[in-house]
Amino acid sequence: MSRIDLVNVTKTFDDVVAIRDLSLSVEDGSFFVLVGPSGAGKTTTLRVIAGLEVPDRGDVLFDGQPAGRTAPAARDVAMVFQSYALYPKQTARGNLASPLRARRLPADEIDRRIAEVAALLHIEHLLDRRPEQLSGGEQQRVALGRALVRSPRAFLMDEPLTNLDVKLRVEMRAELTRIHNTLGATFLYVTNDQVEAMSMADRLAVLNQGVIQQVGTPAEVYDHPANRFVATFIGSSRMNLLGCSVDDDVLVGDAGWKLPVPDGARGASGKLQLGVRAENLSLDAPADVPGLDGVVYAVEPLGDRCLVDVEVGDEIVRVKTGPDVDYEAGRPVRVGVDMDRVHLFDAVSGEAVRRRSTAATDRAGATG
Amino acid sequence: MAGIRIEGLHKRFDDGTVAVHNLDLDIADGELFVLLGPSGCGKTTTLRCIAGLEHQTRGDIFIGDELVNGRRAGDRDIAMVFQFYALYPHLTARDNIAFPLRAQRVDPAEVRRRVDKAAAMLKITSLLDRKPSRLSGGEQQRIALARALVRNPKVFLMDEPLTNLDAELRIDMRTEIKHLQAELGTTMVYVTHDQVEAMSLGHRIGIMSQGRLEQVGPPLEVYRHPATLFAAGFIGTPPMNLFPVSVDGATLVGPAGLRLPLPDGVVGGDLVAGVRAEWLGVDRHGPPGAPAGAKGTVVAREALGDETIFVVDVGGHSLSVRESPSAPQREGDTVSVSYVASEPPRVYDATTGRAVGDLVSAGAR
Repeated sequence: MSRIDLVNVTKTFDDVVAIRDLSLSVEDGSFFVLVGPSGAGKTTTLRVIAGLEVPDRGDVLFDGQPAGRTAPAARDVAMVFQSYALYPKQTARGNLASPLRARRLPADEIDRRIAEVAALLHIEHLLDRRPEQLSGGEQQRVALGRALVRSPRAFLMDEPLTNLDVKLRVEMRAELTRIHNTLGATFLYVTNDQVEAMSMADRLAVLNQGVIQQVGTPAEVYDHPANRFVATFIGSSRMNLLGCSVDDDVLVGDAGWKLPVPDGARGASGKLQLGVRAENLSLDAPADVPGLDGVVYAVEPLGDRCLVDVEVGDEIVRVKTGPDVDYEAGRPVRVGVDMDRVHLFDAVSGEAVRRRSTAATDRAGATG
Repeated sequence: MAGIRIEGLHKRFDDGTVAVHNLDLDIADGELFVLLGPSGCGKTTTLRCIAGLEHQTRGDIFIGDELVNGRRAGDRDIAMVFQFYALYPHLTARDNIAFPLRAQRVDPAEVRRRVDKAAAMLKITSLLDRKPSRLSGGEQQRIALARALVRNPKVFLMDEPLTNLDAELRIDMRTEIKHLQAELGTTMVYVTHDQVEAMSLGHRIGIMSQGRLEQVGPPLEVYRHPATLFAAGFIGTPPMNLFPVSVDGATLVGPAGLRLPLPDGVVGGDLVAGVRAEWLGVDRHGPPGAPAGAKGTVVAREALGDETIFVVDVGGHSLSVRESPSAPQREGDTVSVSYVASEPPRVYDATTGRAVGDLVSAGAR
C-alpha cells in the first residue's frame, strides 16, 4: 500500500519539455487516472514514478520518502503496458510464476499466490495454455496477473486496454474497477481515452503539453472544467463553444443571439466563449426561456438518445434529446439554454471566467 | 439520381473464399443506406461490386432501371470516396476537385462554377489554393468529398471515409455528410464498421456478418428490435445485455429471479433475453404492475458525466444499467435491478440466434 507524491517534477528530452513543474498526490488505495492527448507527458510521468526516467528537477515520494535515485526494481511498483510482453514459450502459469521465481519464493507460496490471482482475474481455466492459445483479452489478463502476483505497493498502468477491441475494452474497464476494489491497492493509470478516465477513476488529472490542467473527481472536472481544454477534452459529446461578449447585462453572441449574463460574469470583458454541453440544451424552447434561434442542420439518432445539430449563425450546436424525435433538416428551431449549467471562457487564454461556488464543487466531489 | 437494386449477389474469390452470399437489397432513390459490420463481413466487397471494381460471381446489380453488370466502373455514373483520400500531391485543392470534370472535358466556366459551389457546401473555399501537404487530414477528406460531389453522379459510394480522422473530427464530419446528402438528395451507400456512425447517418442500416445480411431497418428499429443475437451484440454502447431466461407463467425469469414481461408469441424453449441498459433500473420500480427486481452487487460504476453506467452482478451475469449522472449507488453496494421499460424485451432462440415471438413492426416500441 502506498501514497505517491510528485513534487515539482520537470523532465526534458533534448530541447523538448515533456513535463513541467508537475506536482500531484495519489492517495493510498485510490484509482488515479492521468488523461490527456498523445504528447501530454502522461507516460513520462509514469516512467519517472517507476524510476525508468530520472527527472531534471523535483522528486517522487513514496509514503513521504523521497525516491531519489532508487533503482526501479527497488521501488516495489509493478507496471502493466499496452503490449502484454508475455513469454511465448511458457504457459500462463509459467508467466505468472516468473516474477516470483526470480525472487526465490518457495514453491507452495508461488502456487498459493497464482491460485489467488487466477481466481481474482477469472483465468483459472487458462493457466495451462500458452499465449498463442489465448485471445488478446485473455493475454492482457495474464499480463495483469503477472503484475498482481508480486503484490507491489502500487500498480502503474500505461494504456493497458488500447490494443483490445471496443467490446472487450468496455468489459475490461468494469473488471479493472472490480479488481481495484478487491485489492484496495494504489492504481495509477494512464490513458488518452476520456471515457476510460471518467469511468474508472476515483480522481483524475487532465494533462496537456506537460502541464496539469485540472485535478478532481470525474464529476468535478465534467461539471466544473477549469478551462476550455478540459471542457472540450472531457465528455463524450464535445462541449459546444459559441463566440460572444458581455454588454452590460446581456451576453451577446457573435452570431447575434442574446442571453442573460451568467451569475458572477457581469463586467467580464473582451472576447469570450460560451460553453454548454449537449444535454443542457433543449429543442423548441418557449419564447420566455433563454435560448438561441437556429435551423436544424442534421438529426442523428443513436438509439438511447438523439443528437440534433442546429445551425446558429454560422456555428453548429449539438443538442441531446430523447431517442424519438421527428425533426427535418431546414426546420427553424429555438434551442433552450439551461443557464445554470453554462460555462464562460476567455477566448484568448481559454481560462474559465466564471467558477461556481466552492460549495457546489464540494458537493460534486462527494458524489463523484 | 437513382435507386439501387441488388438481386442474388454472390461473390466468391479465386481462393475459394465466399465474401458475399446471395444478397438481395433494395436501396431507394435518395436514400442514405449504411452497410455495417465487422471486418471481413463482406460489406466492402458488396460496395465494390456496386462500383464495378469487383465482378460478382453471380447476381444482378441495377442502378436506376439499368442493369450494370457488364458496365465498367467508369461508365456507371457513380462517385466513390475512400478511407484514403488519394489526392494528387502536386495539384492544388481546386485542381484536385476539378480533375474529374476536366477529364470529362467539361467547359472551364462550368468547372469553375461547380468547384466553387462544392467548396462552399463543404466550407473549404479558403483552402482551394493549397496543396494537400498543407492541409490537415480532415481538410483533405473534405477535398476528396468535394471531388466526388462536383461530378453530380447518380450514386455516392463511401468506403469508411472517416476512419482515419480523429474522434472529434469524425463526429463533425459525419454531421456534414448527413447534412450534405439531405441537401443533395443523391442516393448514398456508406460502408462502416462503426455502429455509432451507422446509427447517426443511415436512413436504414444493413447489418452484415459472414457475407450475409443479418437485418435491414431504420436505426431505431435495429436498436430496439435486433433480429438476431449478432445484431443485438453489435449495436449500442454498452452492447445489449444478453442472458438466459425461461418462461414462468405470464413472465420471463432470468438470473437471480429477475422478472421481465413476456412478449406475445413466446412460448418456451432455450431462450436468451436481449435487454438494453436503459430498459433496466437500479433501485427503481418499473411502471405500475411491473415485475419485481432481482438482487445484485454493483461491480463497476462508470460516471460518464451525462449518465452513469452501472455494471451489476446479477446471479453471475454482468448486466449494464444506464442511470442518471446523480445516481448514488457505489461499487460493492447490494442493489435491486428491475425491468423498467414499458414494452417487453427482445427474446431469442439460443440455438438459432434468431428473434422469437410475434415480431413487432418498425418503430412500434
